[in-house]
Amino acid sequence: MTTSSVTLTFDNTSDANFRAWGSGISTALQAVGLVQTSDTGQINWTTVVRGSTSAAENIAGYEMYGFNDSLQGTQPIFLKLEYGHVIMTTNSGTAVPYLPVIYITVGTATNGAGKITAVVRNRVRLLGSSVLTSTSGSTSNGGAISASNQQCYFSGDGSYICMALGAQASLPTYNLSTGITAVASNLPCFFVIDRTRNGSGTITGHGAVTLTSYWQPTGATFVTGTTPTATCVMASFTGSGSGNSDTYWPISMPGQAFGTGSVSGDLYFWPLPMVSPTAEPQCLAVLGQYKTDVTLASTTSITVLGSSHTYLSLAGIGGTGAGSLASVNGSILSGAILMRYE
Amino acid sequence: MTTSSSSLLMDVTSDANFRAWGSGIASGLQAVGLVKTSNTGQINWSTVTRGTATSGAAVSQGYEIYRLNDSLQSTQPVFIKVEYGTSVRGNSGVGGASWAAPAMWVTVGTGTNGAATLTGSVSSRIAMTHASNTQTGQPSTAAATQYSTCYFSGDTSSVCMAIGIDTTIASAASGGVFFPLPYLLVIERTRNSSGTATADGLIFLTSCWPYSDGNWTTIALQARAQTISFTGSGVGSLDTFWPFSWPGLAFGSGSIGNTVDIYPLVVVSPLPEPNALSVLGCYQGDLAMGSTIQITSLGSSHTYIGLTAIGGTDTTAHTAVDSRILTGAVLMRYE
Repeated sequence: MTTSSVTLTFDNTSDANFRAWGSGISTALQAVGLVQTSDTGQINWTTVVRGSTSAAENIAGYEMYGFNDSLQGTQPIFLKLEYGHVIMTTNSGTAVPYLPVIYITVGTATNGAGKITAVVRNRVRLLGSSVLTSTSGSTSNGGAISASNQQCYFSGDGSYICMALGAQASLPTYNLSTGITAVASNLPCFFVIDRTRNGSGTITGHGAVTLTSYWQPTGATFVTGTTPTATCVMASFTGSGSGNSDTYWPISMPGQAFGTGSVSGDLYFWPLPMVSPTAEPQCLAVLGQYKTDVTLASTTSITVLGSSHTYLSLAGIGGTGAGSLASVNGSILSGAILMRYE
Repeated sequence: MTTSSSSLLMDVTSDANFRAWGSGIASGLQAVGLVKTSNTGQINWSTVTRGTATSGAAVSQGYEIYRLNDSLQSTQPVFIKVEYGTSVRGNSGVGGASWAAPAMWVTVGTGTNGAATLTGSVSSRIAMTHASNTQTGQPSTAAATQYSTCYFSGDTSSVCMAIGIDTTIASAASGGVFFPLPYLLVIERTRNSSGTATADGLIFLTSCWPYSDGNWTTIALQARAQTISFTGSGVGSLDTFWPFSWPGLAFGSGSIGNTVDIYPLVVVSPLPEPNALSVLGCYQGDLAMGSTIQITSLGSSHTYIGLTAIGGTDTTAHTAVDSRILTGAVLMRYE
């Protein structure tokens, strides 16, 4: 089991800046147990260029990873990450800015050349936005467009992977062209893949869950939306293929309820049920909580599936008030998650 | 526990039909254990009228106040206000307005003023009606002709109601006006792990399918869930879904071989409590509508009735209590 904590600047205003955040993610994923495959044509972080500067979504390249555990030979899991940017246009047609984009596809086989041939999680945006058109602000694109440093956490052990980009209390900012300041963006971004496990936490070959979540920017000034863009897909290795894609993480929380799991000095957390489609023990990689219950970035030991595990709190991102960006469920904006971190 | 079933006509185009519909619901609730209080001003089903048309509004014509009837009622009282009225489909193109559908509102509280008001910790007032709006064009004054199957159950510490459990959604005879069916209502005290009611709190669940647009063409689920605490935390936030522990849409079925997975409803007071006994979740294709099944919940075998495949068997069916899980359905305790 391995963890990684890094700060990255999600800025595509130059090739160098693009390489810095992309290679930062790449390095961290490998540090926590993912193995990069030998698929041809993968990104070379010393030579890749950020791509077109015209208004559009531009994918510069991809990486392919595989899990690294005893089941990888019989129930393989591969994930393809694509890196790039999207460009927003002003109403005058001048392009601003370059917002980083990541896509992910998950499957059980590749063709060796960058294509996942047995998809269990269709290609989905993990970070970024559709091309937006600004209706206000300057037409000038002469100024530097930069983003602030973001705290990022990674964890894994070859049988699961967790990634949290932009997990900090202050909202990320982008300085757009003269006259336009975006105070928010599509961070935080959460990503988890975990195999099914037995009641003791040992991985089984029944299936896997893929979870994604980010905040879709909207409007002329690229502000953060009001609900997370979240997905959950259960994949079966027992003949049922992939389940339907949910628009939230189905953590068994009692709704918004009383807004806290802190009761009489105790803290309560909520499991994410898994099916393959047989009902399985809960997901080990994530737990649910309310946004004020455990301080952001603090770690807590919690007994799950019979053993004590360390979890990192991702509550309080963007604050603990109404503007919190910790939720992975648009119907429970007071919710947050704990990410396995050991 | 007690059960009751009936067929009701979802029609308020005459005073007589309005009284038949409303009193039918009232009879069902009382038959399964709710006790009508002596609060003043309650509806008289012999004399109440459907009311005066107010274009584009849902109007309450009166109320009843009920209470639970268990050993906890004297110390942790639960009162239920049920209001009956009409949804008026306004018509700016033709003079006058029509009464298109029955309407209900439910509120739960821990006290009353002896008249029309609930006091203490009081839930949100939840409507089970069409959205209030106006529409140009011809009004629909045709009476409904389809009777709807209704189920009631209760055990003095809980009450369940399911109105309009049919394979075809009830509609008016002309104009294509559909009623916001089914209506579902559950009020249940918290329970211990043996199923005995406790003094910690209660859950209040409702569901209906009102029109969500101004032209009365689009129906959308309106599910609500709320908890009242008796341990000092008052009334919880109002949720727009019933918090079952579903694994999401998943594979669309809990039927695996010879077993069927059923999903509990999570209850807090705010202390985590055992699951609700009155309702369980399932996928709509897993059990037949109206069929009963024995399920062990909170340590004992209980009978549940399937509220599945209502108005169809696909994602357009009106079984869901969570708009993100349209293949979901409810099993209602029925014994």
